[in-house]
Amino acid sequence: MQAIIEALEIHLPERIVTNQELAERLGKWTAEEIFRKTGMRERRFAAQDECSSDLAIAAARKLTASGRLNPSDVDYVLFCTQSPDYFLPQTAPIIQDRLGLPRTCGSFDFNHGCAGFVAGLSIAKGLIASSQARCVLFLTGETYSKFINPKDGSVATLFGDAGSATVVRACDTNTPAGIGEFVFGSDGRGAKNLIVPAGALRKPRSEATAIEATDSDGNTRSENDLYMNGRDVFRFAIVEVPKTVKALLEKARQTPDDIDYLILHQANRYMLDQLAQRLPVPKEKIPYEFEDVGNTVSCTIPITLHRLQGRGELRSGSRLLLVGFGVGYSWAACTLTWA
Amino acid sequence: MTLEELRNRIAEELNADPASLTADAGPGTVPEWDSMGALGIISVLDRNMKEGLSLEDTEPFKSFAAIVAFARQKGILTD
Repeated sequence: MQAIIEALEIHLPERIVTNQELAERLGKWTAEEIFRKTGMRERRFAAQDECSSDLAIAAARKLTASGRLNPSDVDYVLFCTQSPDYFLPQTAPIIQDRLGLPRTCGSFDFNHGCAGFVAGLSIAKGLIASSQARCVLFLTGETYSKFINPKDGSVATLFGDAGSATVVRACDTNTPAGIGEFVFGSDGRGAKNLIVPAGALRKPRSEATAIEATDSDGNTRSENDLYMNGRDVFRFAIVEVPKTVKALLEKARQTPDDIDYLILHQANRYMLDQLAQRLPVPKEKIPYEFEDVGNTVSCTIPITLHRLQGRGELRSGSRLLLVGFGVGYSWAACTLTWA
Repeated sequence: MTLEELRNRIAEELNADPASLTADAGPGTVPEWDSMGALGIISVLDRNMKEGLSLEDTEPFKSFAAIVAFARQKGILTD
């Protein structure tokens, strides 16, 4: 049984954080310098009482309101997030209830970060291929802003919040469309390089973990906050992503000429520029979609797909290669023929 | 690649004066050698290595001399 992406929506929180606001707060760079470094002019931050599930549900409601998803069709709901509503319960059953999905549908959360969208497509495809489901509602939602110390320019300039909702449905195997081959990777040596050190059970929050320190680049954070070693994450990406693309093309028996778009996790402009120089497809086939939303973690690839589709650049039969990579470290890539 | 070519490529990446890249120059002495500059240095070295960088390569470079030593060890420098 083939699995296709039948419909996709995104949702962004209302609050816009501009480079000007960050420049005034951080006092390190001008708004234009932030743009030159990151390729981003603004990003969206969730409200204090707005969770990742709210963003994902808002995206899903756009699908139901427009008639692209009948809630009663859903027999599995997946939710990818690194900022869940609670430690427990998991968020997916809460989403099931709030969206009015059948009580007979399966559900679970998974914590996967930047490679999460591709990983979720893999899970959805597996559920469909094994006849466990016919219509998977796959949601992503991220509110990294809640982990960011406002005085840490190394992450405050990059990340934004968002949600997405994707309908993955079983389809006649004769169709050329669908989710294709996958390649995965994991390297836990990089766990320390993109991390919120305190707050879970390995290191619960305490007075000690709340103590702020300023690093040699002038970024201030505590162990309760998001930390990123940008240098090592960058090195990981330029080493692993080109190898992953090569391996996937070989596995899918495709050449770079077969690909209409190579959609990378939208980390930041410098990262994508450097990767584009190392990848076997022309730069014009590698979309950049972060200038007004920032790096939205597991939502970057669905946002890119949604915008390509909105501009009419994705057509039935468009051949795509998706690559998610980052926190973990973990990475995942797949081929996809647009339905 | 010669030592001067390496110096010029890294200076270009940092948007710094090549003359500022003396042996003991580093993040503390070259203002352009900030966290973004460090990425640029990694990128220059990666592009000039036959097999590219591996995750085991490159601890943070504290000086231009350390970059030169790495480049010699990896066969990037020809002089």
